Amino acid sequence: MELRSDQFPDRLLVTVLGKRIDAASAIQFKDQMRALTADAPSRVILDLEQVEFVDSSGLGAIVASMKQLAPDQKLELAALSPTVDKVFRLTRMDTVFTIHESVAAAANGVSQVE
Amino acid sequence: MKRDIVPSNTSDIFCLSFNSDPMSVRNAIQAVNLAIGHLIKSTDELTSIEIVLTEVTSNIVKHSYQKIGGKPIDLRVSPYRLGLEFEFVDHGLAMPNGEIPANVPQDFNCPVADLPESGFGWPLIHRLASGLEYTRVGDENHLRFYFSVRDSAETD
Repeated sequence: MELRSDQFPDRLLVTVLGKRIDAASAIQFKDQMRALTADAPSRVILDLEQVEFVDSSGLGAIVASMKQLAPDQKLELAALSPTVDKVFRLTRMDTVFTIHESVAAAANGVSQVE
Repeated sequence: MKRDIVPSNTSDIFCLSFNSDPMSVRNAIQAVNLAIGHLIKSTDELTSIEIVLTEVTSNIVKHSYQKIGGKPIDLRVSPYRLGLEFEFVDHGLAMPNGEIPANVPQDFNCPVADLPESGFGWPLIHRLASGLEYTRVGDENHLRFYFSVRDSAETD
């Protein structure tokens, strides 16, 4: 489970380099996110473009990552693949997160919550 | 409630046995995807099936087998109506109360700190699979469900 982080003045961009956030990688993901977001600016954007599959454990880890943030920090998601988007929609987790079509849209602060 | 399953063609049935470790489970699901890819034309439907297979096997590994690897999981896939029926058999712990967890809607209208980090699996299974049925036969757990190609991708 590899995460890459890019720091900008107003946001931290965390790119998930693995293809799956699932039972096998959920704990690693959560731990790495805690470390990366500890000193982040108020916006943390999670780039999921390369992620093909998120199962219920992965979903839990993403929620946990949001709960790990400081009160003034916000976790936003970007570039969900159709399968990942489906899981978020079916579980109604799309009502919990701000979801952007793309990292670029997120950078522009354009939120497209469905 | 026992349903009569009459395969349209017994030669279409395939069975898979695999171990309860993460890599074996993932390989098994990939094998099923490949095997049914010619039967299920819709990508959306295939995605739904993969989601359910992933959640069901996760439950078997985590709860039936308490994350112990090397335990057997059997899967039988057969024609059912105009779709496919899946039956999983494992030899682990029985479901609590002897039944499938109910489809209880989760409430996310709460502070972030109170959001649940688990319990998303069964709602996904309930939403996507039809005819969910669990029986305990001796020391075996049997979980059956089907996907009918006539259904929309999400069942209510």
